[in-house]
Amino acid sequence: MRRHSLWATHLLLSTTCLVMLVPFYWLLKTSLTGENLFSYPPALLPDNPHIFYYVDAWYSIPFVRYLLNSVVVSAIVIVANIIFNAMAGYALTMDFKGKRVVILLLLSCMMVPYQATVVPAYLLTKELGLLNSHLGMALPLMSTIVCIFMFKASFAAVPRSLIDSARIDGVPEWQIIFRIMLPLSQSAIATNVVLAFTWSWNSFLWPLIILRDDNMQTLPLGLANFLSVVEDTSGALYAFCIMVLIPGLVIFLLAQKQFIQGLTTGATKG
Amino acid sequence: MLHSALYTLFCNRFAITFGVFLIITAGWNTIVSFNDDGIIKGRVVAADGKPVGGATVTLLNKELLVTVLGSRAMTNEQGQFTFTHHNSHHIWLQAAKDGMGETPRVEFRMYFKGQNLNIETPLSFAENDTKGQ
Repeated sequence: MRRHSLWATHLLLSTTCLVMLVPFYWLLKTSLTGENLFSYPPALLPDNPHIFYYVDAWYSIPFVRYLLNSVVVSAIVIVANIIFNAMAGYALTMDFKGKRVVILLLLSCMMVPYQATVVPAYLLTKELGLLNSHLGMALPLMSTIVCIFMFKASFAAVPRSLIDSARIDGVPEWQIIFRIMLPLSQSAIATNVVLAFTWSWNSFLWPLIILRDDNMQTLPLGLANFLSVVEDTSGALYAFCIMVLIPGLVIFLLAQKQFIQGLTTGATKG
Repeated sequence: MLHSALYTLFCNRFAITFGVFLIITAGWNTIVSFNDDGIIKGRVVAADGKPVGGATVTLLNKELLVTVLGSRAMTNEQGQFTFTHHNSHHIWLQAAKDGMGETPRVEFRMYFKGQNLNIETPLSFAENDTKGQ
């Protein structure tokens, strides 16, 4: 009876997975065949697939340049996220006066829509002289409140005695964070890396606002430009979409285990 | 100790994935560097299969939205033509000769720009084609 129910569960989950994957399959199929998305009756299997649309997309835009820009911005965002979020998360595990107010302030900031912060962020970036630069593109994503709380939850799971003994040995606070807390919070780091990478990789509005130079554009902007030129449902457009998707997908699949662990760490703790 | 450190550094799925990616990229670039002289060779034949000398072969570069004229070449007595230094990955070829008209445009897609191409199927004038006379 139990075995029967397990099979039924797996069948249901597999069917759900397949349904969820259909849009991706269709994207991939169109990128390999170039057929019209709205053709009727739709063909389930690709007819005469080839990779030439990928070649078209590769040469139609400066893909490597855009890819490099996206990678540089994502790398800055990931490194900054781990450093700043770990520091903030560590501070929030300590007891200090006004801690509740700080937490409330952080939580309330999460309720402000991103679009409402764009103008002040632009003015600030301009004053810092970071418009049209990689650092400027990374600036708003260099610390995120969700990830601060993720580090807080992960650090809270580390025994307090470990921190106390490090202090007794004279280890400075910053070394406690980077040499004791972070190595014990690998799943939080992985989650942070995946989230920071995804947000930065898909960031569109902010780069669109602060960039002037074509050579500084990232992949989502390149995709938007490409879309404005190739308005029909051509295979090259979908090939470009796949090329933009692949790095994020690879990073997620590689860090999948830690990502899930990081999301559930501290789920049952305060 | 060193062995263990190297094992930890290189024997994980991150290092293996990006390592494989680097090897594929290096391999692909090697193949490209040996085959990107931009040479296209082919033949032009009449409807009966005999080589056509003195025909003009036009190479058109297909860009994403438009097709632009690339270059022209003449066939020799054996009907052979050669283009050098082409810099495209998507081309059309068409041959024309006074008194024989034009061959149909034939599309060729390549895996990288300037790929050397040896066209096996010759460009063929259709029988009784008098277009372009």
